[in-house]
Amino acid sequence: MIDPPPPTFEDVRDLLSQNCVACHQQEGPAPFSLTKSTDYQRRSAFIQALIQEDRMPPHLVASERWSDQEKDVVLRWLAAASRDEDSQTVPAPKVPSFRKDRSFRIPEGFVIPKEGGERWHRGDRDVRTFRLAPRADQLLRVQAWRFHSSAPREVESIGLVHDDGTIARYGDLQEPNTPGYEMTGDMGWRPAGMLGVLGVANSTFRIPDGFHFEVPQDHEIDFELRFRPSGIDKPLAATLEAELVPDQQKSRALHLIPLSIRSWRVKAGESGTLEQRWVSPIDIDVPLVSVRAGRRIRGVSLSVDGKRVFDIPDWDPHWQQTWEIPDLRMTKGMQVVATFNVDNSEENPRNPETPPRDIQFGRRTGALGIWLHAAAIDPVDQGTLQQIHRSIFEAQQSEPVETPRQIEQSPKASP
Amino acid sequence: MASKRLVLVWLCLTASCQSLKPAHQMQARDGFDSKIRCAVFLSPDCPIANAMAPSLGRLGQYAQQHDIETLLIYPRKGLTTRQVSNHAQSYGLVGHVVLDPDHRWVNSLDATVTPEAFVFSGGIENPNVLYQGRINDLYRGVGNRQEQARNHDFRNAIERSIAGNRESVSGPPAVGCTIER
Repeated sequence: MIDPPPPTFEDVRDLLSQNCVACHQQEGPAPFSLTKSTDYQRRSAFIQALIQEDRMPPHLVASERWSDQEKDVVLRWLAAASRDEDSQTVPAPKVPSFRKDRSFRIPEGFVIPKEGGERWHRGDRDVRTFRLAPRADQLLRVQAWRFHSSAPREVESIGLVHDDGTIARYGDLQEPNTPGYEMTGDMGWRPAGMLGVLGVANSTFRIPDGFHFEVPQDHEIDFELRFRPSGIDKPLAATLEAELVPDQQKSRALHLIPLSIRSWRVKAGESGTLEQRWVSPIDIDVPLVSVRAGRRIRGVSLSVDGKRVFDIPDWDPHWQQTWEIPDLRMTKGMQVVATFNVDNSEENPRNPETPPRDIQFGRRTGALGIWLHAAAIDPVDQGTLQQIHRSIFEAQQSEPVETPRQIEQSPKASP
Repeated sequence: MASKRLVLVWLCLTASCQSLKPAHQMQARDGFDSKIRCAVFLSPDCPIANAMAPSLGRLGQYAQQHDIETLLIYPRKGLTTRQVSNHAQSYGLVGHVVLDPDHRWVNSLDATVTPEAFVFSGGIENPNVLYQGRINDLYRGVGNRQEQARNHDFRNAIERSIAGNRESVSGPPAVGCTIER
């Protein structure tokens, strides 16, 4: 049997463009540029290893990753490509269209530190929260966000919420002499609103047509930055821009339904599942979900009446962002289950502590959640969504600390 | 401020002003006797190596205080003196900057990734490797970064050497960017 000829650059150009260059370009979020064919040839062994381990490309839902066949084509091209070939340009993917209608800036003066510091809790990531200026001067219907920063390689994700200012101001006052504050997590629990999470690969984020995020008049937007220290101090200047739904255009506001586990604990070596259940009292569309889950979570899924509609079995905390779920509709009475596979054993390669320790997380340190961004199908029910958020919030106040079910003792952790 | 000045002076003496040379030339200069030395393989655009730079800077100073030289070896082809000097300076590294485009040090120590750390005695032709492995466990895998390092294997190896222990120890494998052959 004769081996097929190795793929040519023409065979892989579009795959590289779509999957690599969006991040690996000058001033992009990834560490080195991959805009020339020779850039790949120079790092061929490293790139092949990362692709084979499915480490690259990252930040994509499993279903959107390249197919096994496409992966094979790229790997064969990398293995065969000669370092002496002439350099050819890999085109940058098309930049999504965006119209800047509003612009908000973070306070100046924060420097992303060169390395992570000691923290008051055992949370997962370096994080800082900022209040953005100015406040919304009128109700804003946001169709898309775009984020710019002076430190694209240090910014891992930004979570956006809106608040009337009381909770965020309290946090800010705890650190009066520095821009932003460390304490986090409170605003999203109140009946205010979450406005999505932008990750590394989606710094321009468009809400599906027909829906929008709503920022009430006089509310401020608060900005939770998760960052990765890169070995060198990086002063941060950043701007968040909003594209608004045109005044005359019909659109439905997305409200938050937090399927959250507010407080949970797991012993060293244990694994199991945590679930949050909810029955929809009205008919809703759920075009987006946001996920918060840290390093002791191995898998995240959402099911509706037993059918999985969102499933990432090999969860990576890099993927804490807002995901689009096309055509997800829940009718009254449907049972919704958010499931988190917890693994606090040494077998979890992302467990931040070796050997593992007993841990307990709360809302400020490591709550779990799949947040549904929902719109009522019947406009009459739209106001009900805020009440749903409020009633879930109030019910969670009295929930006990959760522990994983179906606990299996890790062999290595056995006494 | 004092530590910044120290780094600048050290780099000036060792790298750009005095003796930034290909590895084989440096070996001829130094003779490389039985004295203990450290080596770390680096690449200016490897995010894992860069993320560990603050630790490396402290380790370089610590080693220097105990009269142990640290070689900062850059194996990637095509790098220039200016590039690696700027990199070492801006990331606060302390040590003797070495360009290794022909992979003489890579082959001698059998380095595979950046950053990879070594404690050794002898020269490039006959190194006696006392430690080879990771700097610490900041990364448990590529793309799998911990918030903080908790196990400091390279530092432990340097301390053993300072204490006079010449036993050869293989540390946990280094995690990082593959050195292209």
